[in-house]
Amino acid sequence: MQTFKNFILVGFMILSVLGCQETIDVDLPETQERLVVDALMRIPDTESDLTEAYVRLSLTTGFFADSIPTVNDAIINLSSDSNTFRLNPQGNGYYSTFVPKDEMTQDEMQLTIFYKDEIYRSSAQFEPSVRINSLTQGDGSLFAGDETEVIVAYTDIANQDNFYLFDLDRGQYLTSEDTFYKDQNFSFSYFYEDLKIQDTLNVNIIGINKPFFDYMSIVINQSGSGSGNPFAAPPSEIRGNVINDTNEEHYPLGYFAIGQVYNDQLIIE
Amino acid sequence: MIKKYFSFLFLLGVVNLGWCQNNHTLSGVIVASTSNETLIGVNVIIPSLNTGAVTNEYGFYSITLPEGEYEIQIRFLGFNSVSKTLHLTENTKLNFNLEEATETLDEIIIEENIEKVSIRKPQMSVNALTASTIKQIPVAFGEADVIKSILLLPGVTSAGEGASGFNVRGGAVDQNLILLDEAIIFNSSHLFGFFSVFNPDAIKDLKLYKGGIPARYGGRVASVLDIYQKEGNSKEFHANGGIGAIASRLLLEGPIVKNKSAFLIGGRASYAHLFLPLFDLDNKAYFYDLNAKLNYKVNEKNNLYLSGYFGRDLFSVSESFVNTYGNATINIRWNHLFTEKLFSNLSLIYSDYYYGLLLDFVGFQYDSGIRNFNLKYDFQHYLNNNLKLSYGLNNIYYRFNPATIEPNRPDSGIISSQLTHKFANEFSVYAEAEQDLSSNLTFRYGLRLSHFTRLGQDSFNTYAGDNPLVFNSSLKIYQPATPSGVVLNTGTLATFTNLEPRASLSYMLNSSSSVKMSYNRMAQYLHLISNTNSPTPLDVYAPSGPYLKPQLLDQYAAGYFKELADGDYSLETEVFYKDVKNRLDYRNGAQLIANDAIEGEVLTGKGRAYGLEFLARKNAGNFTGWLAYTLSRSEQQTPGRRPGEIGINNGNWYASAYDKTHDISAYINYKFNKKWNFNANFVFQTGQPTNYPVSQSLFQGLRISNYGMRNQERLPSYNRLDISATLTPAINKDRKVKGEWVFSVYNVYNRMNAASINFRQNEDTGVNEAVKTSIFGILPSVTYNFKF
Repeated sequence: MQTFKNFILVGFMILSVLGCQETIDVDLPETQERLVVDALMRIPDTESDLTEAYVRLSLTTGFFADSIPTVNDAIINLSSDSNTFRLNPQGNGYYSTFVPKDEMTQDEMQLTIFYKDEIYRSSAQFEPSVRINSLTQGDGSLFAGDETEVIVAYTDIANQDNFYLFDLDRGQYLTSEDTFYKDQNFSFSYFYEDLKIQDTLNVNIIGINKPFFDYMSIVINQSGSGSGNPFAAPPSEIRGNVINDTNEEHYPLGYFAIGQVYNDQLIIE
Repeated sequence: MIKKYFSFLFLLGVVNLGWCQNNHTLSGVIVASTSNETLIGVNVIIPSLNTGAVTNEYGFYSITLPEGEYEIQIRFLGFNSVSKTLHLTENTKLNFNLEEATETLDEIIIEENIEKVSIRKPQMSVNALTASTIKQIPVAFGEADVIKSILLLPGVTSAGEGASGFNVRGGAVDQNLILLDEAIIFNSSHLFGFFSVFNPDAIKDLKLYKGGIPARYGGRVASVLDIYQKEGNSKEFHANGGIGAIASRLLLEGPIVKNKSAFLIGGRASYAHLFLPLFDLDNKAYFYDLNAKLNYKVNEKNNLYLSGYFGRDLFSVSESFVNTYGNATINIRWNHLFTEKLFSNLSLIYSDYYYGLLLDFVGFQYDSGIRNFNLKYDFQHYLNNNLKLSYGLNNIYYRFNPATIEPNRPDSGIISSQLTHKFANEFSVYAEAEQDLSSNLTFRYGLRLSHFTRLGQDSFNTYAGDNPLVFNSSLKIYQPATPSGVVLNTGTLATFTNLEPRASLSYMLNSSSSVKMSYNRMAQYLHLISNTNSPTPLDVYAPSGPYLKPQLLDQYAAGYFKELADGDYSLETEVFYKDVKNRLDYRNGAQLIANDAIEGEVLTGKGRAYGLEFLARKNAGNFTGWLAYTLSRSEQQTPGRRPGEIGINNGNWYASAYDKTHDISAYINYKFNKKWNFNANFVFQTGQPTNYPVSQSLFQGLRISNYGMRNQERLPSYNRLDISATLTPAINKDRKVKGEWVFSVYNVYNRMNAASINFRQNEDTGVNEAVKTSIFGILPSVTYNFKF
């Protein structure tokens, strides 16, 4: 119900919005630096036999630091049941390579990262997604009256429990589980602020599993303005699915997931 | 075990009954002469024997004395005292009509203050507030408020403005038993905590028990807030009300059959568009509540009361987000006097809490609620002058609707679904004795036996190894287990039985000071499922069952109580320690809304709290008021269940969300003259525990704040000064309609207290920042109150 929960929180947030907000200085506690693995591999539904596997590595840094250091000197391997692929550094923390699509979508893939004499591991399995039936602009609005309503419609994958991650562009993400719309045509409205005529929105729907749904739900809560809201859950540590095999104390953050992605675009009128 | 306790009670009873020879009972009901409204807590004093009695919740008193001639004094705050000489030769019924002390008789107003602690009584850790004090305390928008008033008492805090409920002695909001005319209220707040659901005009008496809780109360572990409303004036018709900045209220009362039956009807409503004038849209936020009461005096021995409450909040944003919630209760009470020594009250109560939410942009309607049917039969047995018994039984049947989901329009993809209804029954019996062991030692001891049955339901999840929450030891995270099976149409799922002993004693050091000690054990079978910093109306209650064990509390308290200058000043100091077993906490990222498998989201731990409370009061004179200070600690521990599990915060003790190290509140009332009355209150609290990010990281282009363990940091401390002035125009004297103006300023020095600190990325600059949100700055308001 994360979809609904986020909307509900938006509703309650109006109260805080009506209060007075000001930027303040806060002394924050320091903690040790950790490796952050961003390995959400989006597999588009194309005819091609190969698909590109991306990983981005970075380090945690102080909350108020301007830039986030990336890691470019790691060695990353991605293994299927039959092959191991080396991901090549592309700069700015990115690593990538082409992998046969049938292996990516059928095998349990193993991710191995060698960094500073320590070995990090994770594994993931492909999760299917669905096409976006339609992406349309609505004329509704929410609180302030100047938001742009975008209606996303899709048909839930039949006969199974599904979890979806929406990358709604502009740094907006949303998670949804199909508990209350199993096998149905379903649509929801999302309200954007500050969109202009002729802006292009690029909306992606990605298939995910329940643990990654939980993970992304917390990530979304703790990255946006919802964090610290009195009606939001207290923020907590977010452990992903990557472990440090060499030294448990140096556990990394981040997630390895493989999900089918469908995409649609909308030009704002 | 039970048998042992009861035989102990019995033994003491017999011993005492043995003394009762040539004794007669004086009993009766004390009412206000202008309204026939029964008066609670009136002192009936027999000076020659240095003894006395106090009227109960229905104005009844009973005292047994040896044959003889006595002077009887009746004293009650705000009323003229009455003195009567009586030759007691047989059981005697003596009712009193007390006359309200009028303004012109200022100098002889009785200063017997029921808010003042009774030195002799073993009851400790209790605070009383009268409706008039509640109305004088300055509050935001000038709306007199019960919950905001009790926050000024020692040991009582809240999460701040806009936070529902209150926390007592480091307890959670759901650990307070809130009774309105004996009916259980589940949500005490309107508009997300800005106002409480109680209409101050309708309130007669309010008591907050923080410790040493009498055996007649059960079901919650932190406190009991027991509120009695007025029954209605059976002499003449009256109305009063007020017009304020946020809401207006009107209360009408009068006789149906003079001196025999009366009605009371009260209503309160806020103005629509509250808070939302900033937006040029069809937005609404308002609340209303209605109180209706009837009473009927059948005869000297029987009284009937019927009362109802209905309150709703509505919050709507452009018809696409509509949120409605509120309580409804109806109860019938029957007072019956079996003998002049045995008073009984039978209550039948139905109460319903509803929460509904419509989200048009996802095509979705959500309803949830709790219904309960409550039967209570309570007896007060005034055996003799030294021994008073109370005993009774209580049965509550609960029906929980965690969520009904429906599509709100035909083209919605939402499928109607019903989360499994849950049913439970809570039965309890209790007996308690209050006994004067010697002239300076009074002992109250009792036992409550509670039995909770989690009744069968349509479907019930089972899990491998009975473990609904699995720990992933390589990732170090808790994840809900997939049910291994579903049992349909289950029989009774679980039963729990708990013995809850209660004991308090007071020892008079001299006529003006005493020490008191108390112990109470209590069981709580309902859990509020909420992991937000401040509860929201959306939070649901879950009954104990196979996966959720009842919370069990043990509390110890000791105190020193002193009156100075013949009771003009009083001093109360208490220390307390309590621990609670089976306190819930939630896994990181718990999904609590519309979840049919809550058991996969919760971890069981324990809580403890300890502290020191200090209350100094000035009870008499033109200057009255109090200073309260609390030094306390409230902690939680949720260890791993098996070796290798990390629990929460690595299984270490951590501050609970309502831990406030220092809590200072001061209230003064200054009666300047007949026209002007001034009030001020000041509050200082240590900031609420919270989390600050320890680092940031990058995932999918999002800058994510990383947090460490829970509640390691604190918000800045909270402090605030409020003032108010009440003007009663002199022209009132000759008018039928009497009016008064209340001018108040909330948060005089405009301190922007932090309700929260958000850590976020600035949308324009892309730079991370910490943003403090404050709810109210300085807030002046005017309210006009009237009565006729």
